Amino acid sequence: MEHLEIRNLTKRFGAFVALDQVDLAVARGEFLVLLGPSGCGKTTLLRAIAGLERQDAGEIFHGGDEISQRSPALRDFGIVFQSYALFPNLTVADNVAYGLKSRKADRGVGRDGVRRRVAEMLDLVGLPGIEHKYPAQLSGGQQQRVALARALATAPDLLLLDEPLSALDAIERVRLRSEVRQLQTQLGVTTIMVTHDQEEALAMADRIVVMKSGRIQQVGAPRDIYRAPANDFVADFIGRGNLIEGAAAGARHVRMRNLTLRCAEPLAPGRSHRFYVRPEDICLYDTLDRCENSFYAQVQKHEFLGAYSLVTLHAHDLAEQPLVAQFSSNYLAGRPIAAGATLRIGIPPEHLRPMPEPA
Amino acid sequence: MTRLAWSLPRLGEGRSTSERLGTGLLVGAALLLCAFLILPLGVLLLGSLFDEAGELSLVRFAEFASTPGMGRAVWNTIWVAVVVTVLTVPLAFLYAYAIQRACLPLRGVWRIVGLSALLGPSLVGAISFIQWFGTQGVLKSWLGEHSVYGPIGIIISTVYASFPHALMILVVALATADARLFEAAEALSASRWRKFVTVTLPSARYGLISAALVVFSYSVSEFGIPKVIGGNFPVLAVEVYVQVVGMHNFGRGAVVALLLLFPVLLAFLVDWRIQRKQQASLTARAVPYVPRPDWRRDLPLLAYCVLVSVAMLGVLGMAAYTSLVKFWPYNLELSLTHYRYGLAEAGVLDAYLNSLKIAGLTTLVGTPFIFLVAYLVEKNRSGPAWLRPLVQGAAALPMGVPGLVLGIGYILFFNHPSNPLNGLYHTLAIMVIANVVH
Ligand SMILES: Nc1ncnc2c1ncn2[C@@H]1O[C@H](COP(=O)(O)OP(=O)(O)OP(=O)(O)O)[C@@H](O)[C@H]1O
Ligand SMILES: [Mg+2]
Repeated sequence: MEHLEIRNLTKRFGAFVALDQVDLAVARGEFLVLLGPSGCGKTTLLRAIAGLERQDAGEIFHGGDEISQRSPALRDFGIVFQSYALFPNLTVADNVAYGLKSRKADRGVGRDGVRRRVAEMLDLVGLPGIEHKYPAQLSGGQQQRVALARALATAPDLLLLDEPLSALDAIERVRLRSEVRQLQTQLGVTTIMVTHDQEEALAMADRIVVMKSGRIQQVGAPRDIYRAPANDFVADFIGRGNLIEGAAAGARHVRMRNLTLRCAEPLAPGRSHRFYVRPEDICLYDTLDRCENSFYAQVQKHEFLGAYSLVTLHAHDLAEQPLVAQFSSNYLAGRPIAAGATLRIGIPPEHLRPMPEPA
Repeated sequence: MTRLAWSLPRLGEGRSTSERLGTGLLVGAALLLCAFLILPLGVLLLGSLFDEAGELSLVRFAEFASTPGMGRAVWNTIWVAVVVTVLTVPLAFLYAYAIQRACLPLRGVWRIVGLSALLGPSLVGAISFIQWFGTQGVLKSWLGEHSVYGPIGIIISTVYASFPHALMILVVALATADARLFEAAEALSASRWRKFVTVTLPSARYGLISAALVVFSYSVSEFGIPKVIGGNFPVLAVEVYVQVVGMHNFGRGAVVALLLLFPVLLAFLVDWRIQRKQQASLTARAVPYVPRPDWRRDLPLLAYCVLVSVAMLGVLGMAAYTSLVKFWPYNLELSLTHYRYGLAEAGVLDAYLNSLKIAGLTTLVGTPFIFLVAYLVEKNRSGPAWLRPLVQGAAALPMGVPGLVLGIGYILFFNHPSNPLNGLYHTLAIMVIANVVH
């Protein structure tokens, strides 16, 4: 059995189904990210794992024990909320020590032990020496670090993070993002984090769980989710993409309007397929280059975004709707792209991915 | 003054009419509060600082201090108020907690019963306790050797009368709680008691202190209760009454009134300090806390509510019963004679109608005034910056000033022959104004 296992979990709020028969397994030491649009049930799932929300059906197993009916106090986890939720009337030291003083087992540590542990935790989150401050005297990022220290002080077996970074400004968010991930790796604590920021999910996760309307859409490593979305929703939700329709012409070839392209993956002959192409997978060739899977397209719009450019193209032979390509500035190497120009572009066979179709 | 001169000429420039109007109204409100609140209180202060000959001196204080029995009265007033506060605030807190933080059936009923003491004047409790525990009282034996006339009677009557005041404040203080903090504590395995101490109490701290100050001030300034049930137990409030109404000694009355004002000023200072601290800890992200049923918490609290309610209704019921009985305790036959007598007796009906008139006018004049001031203070961003907190402070002041103190201030201020507002003295209008201000 996996370290944490969720079976068939269902949660309703009145008639509204917030979690619909969710099955999920989390390995020990893994950093799992729950990703999905607002209202899809990420927080509800996290709170059900914590015991702060009681499921209507299903079971949760932690380390082999069923914990579905236990109160939060009897489950072994630390939690960090989106909005810090530090105790405003307690000092940083008392906040961090809060959980230590709750547990009977830790009473034996004594006051010195608690003080040492607090100092150790504050060191760990990079805020040594702020024991005597009050939460109101700290910045958002500092408060969230203290909240993290508070959650980790009891050395929990499971760390739950509910959008821990979303209340912070962009720079602080990126900085704390890598700190949290580094800390998690260092401590090896199994972690489940909720976010609706796909970049954050891709950057931090070992595995990503994409959710929609209370159901899990796809579970996989960031690269797999990005490269091979399991359905339209995931494809649409993670990054930009182009959907191109075509009919299979042979096992490895596909016919699109006036073009026949080769595809690296085997196709069911005669069936029509939809292909998923990431903007950054589109290549730019010399105008006279005739290499495989290349064709002409006309530039409709060009957006320069610093590190890369977004180019909207119309390839008459390929599809009716426009194609979005992303070229890094490095790749373009100063080559000018102007609206109205005709370019020779191509889709390498390995990047022409057929979407899994519902049977 | 320089700042006033600085800002006044700028009022007109480039501002909309409504803003100018707002500023004007705010200034008007400030002036009214000045005339009817600050000045009378100021006169009260001055009245106590000048001697008969009009010289500035502390003679009145010295005189007061040397009056036989005054020391006793001061001491009695203080210790009774402390005991009342120590009893009332926890009782009311637990009651408010049961109403707001537990899942009880009939919450509305408990709330109304808890506030029922507001239905009658403070004397109702005192009279009722005399009936229950007095010489002929049904439950006299409960007190053993002790007599209800004296400190015991004053304390239980004042607890009864001040309970709803504390309850109102604490119900509001416990109305909102941040669910996130409870969840954080829950997740950190805090016990029920620890959650109460580290989350519930600190968030209600402000309400608790307010309630304690209100109850303390109430107890200090209440003179009806000690007059009725106090026996020979001297307290300050009765002393003011005796000095002013009985002996027409306004000067000494002023000194005592000032002493009554002392706890109020203290209260304000403390209030102001906590409020500043409180602001830092409030955040907009708070998630409202909704209690879930839990019989281990709900059952004892329900029992407590029932107990308190029965006691409250017992007090109220006895007062009602007494008013219907022919001649308590000798003839317990029920009748309406008291009402007929009481109402027909010369003056009582008039007084009753006058009271109604005053109450009606107070509501009519006071409510719009209060709303206007509140609106101006909250919404109006124009006008000199210092004006708003000033009006705000002045408007909040009478909350804590004992009615008796304000009354004496009024007598001293408006009764002065050289006061242009002298015409108001002895009229219905002044009563209405006094009530509005209060
Ligand atoms: N206590 C509640 N009562 C009723 N409905 C609720 C409650 N909590 C959540 N919901 C509903 O359940 C759904 C899922 O909520 P949840 O908080 O899990 O969303 P989320 O994925 O965390 O969204 P967000 O990214 O906005 O935080 C939402 O539609 C919400 O309206
Ligand atoms: Mg959420």
